[in-house]
Formats: sequence, structure tokens, C-alpha cells
Amino acid sequence: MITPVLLLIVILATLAIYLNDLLLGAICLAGVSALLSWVIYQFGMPYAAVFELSVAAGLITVLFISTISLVKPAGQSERELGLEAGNPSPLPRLFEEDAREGKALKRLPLVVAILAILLWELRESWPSIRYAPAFDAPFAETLWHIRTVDLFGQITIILCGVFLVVHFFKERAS
Amino acid sequence: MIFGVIGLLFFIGLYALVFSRNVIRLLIGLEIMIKAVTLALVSSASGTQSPALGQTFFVTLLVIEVIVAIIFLAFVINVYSHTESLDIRKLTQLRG
Repeated sequence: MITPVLLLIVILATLAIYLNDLLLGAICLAGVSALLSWVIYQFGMPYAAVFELSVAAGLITVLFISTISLVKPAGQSERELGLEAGNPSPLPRLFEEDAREGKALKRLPLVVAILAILLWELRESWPSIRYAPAFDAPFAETLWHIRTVDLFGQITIILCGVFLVVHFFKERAS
Repeated sequence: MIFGVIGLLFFIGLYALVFSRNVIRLLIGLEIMIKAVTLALVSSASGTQSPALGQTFFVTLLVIEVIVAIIFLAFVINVYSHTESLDIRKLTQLRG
């Protein structure tokens, strides 16, 4: 049952990049997050699944849609936003032809399909993975007692984010 | 199977980062790469029979993901207000 969902995740991720409409791209990304939360639940991690569904599929999608609405008024195309295809690329000349966004992104589904077939054909030769011994403390004890340092790291990252966002939007003196 | 999907997701995100010029699409690519890392973390935690540890690391990864998205989107709004465009190539000056 998990295999079709994983394939659907890959298809939605491809669509999120492939589609011209940024709003549809953001919705496809939300679909990836929602399906990923189901996969996480199937792996036996219900708390992580709930966080993924509420934060990644919910909050981040709302942020995406708000930002797209702010920077792209209804009906305005990417061409009008200065993103017309065919401009010179910042990449080296070797990749110049392929670096044109329109053409390169249109090729993405084909490239992903070829890569998927290659990976499937080579699946027998993948190296086997040796896992570490099990760690079986409860989630709450692991989060609040064993990995307490992680919480300090998270708080620091959040404060850095707040500081940067405040800095981005502060009023200029002039 | 799962590691193939992780590789594909990571590749899709990387492809967007390399070939896209739209800053919002760059962030979508980055998010897809983070999804690949999330899937790798979850499947590894499941393989080691350590769901609690996996979930703890997942929470840290989620916090990082959200903060990166918020900062990047604030950056997008700032870029748009300065250049009236979402084209990353128009950012040619670092002057504040």
C-alpha cells in the first residue's frame, strides 16, 4: 500500500516544479507533505505525522499562498514578472542551452522518469544498509530529557529567524 | 524502494535549484529536498526500531524547515519590493 503513495509523492513533487502556476505548485507541495505525513504514520511515528500534517502541509502552505498573493496580483503572468524564457543563463556556457528555465523545467518529468527506471533496474545492486541497535525510550522522555540540547538548538534557530524577519521588514531611517 | 524515492525527491529539488530562476520555485525545490531528508530520517528510524529518537530529530528538522521557509519568503517579499521581479538574476547588488 505504501508503494503507490510513494510514487504519488514523486509525481506531485515533479508537478510542483513543472507547473507554470506558482499557486498550483504550492498546492502540489502541500499534497506532498500530506502524503508524506501518511507515510510517516505508517512507519509508526504518529506524533511526527501530526506535526508534518499541521505544520508542513498547513502552515507552510498558508505562508506560500500569502507570499504568492503579495508578489503576484491575480492574472499577472511570470512573463510580466520578468521571468520570460530565453534570457542568458548565469551558469557556465557548457550548460547555457539547457539552463533556460522554460525548456529545462519542461524536461523535468522525462528526466525523472528515466532516473526512476534506472534506479528500478539497478535495485539489485544497491548496497545493503546495516542499522544501529534499537533505542526504545518513550518519545516524551527522549524529547524532554535525553535530547534536551536539541530544544536549546531549536529555540536558538527560532530566535535567529525572528531576528532576521524583523531585520528584513524594519523601517529604513531615510 | 524507499531509498529510490528519497533519491528521486532529492534530485527533483536539486534540479529546481539549478535550473529555476524564480525565487519562489527555488524555495519549493528546497522544500522538496527537505522532504527527501525527512523521508530518509523516518525510514532510518523505522529501520533501527527507534521511533522516539526519529521523532525527536524530526521535530528539530521541522523547526529548521519552517524557519528557513519563513526567512526565505520574507526575503522574496523584500526582493520583490526592490526589483519588482521574482528573477533571481536581477539581484546583482548586495548594497542594502
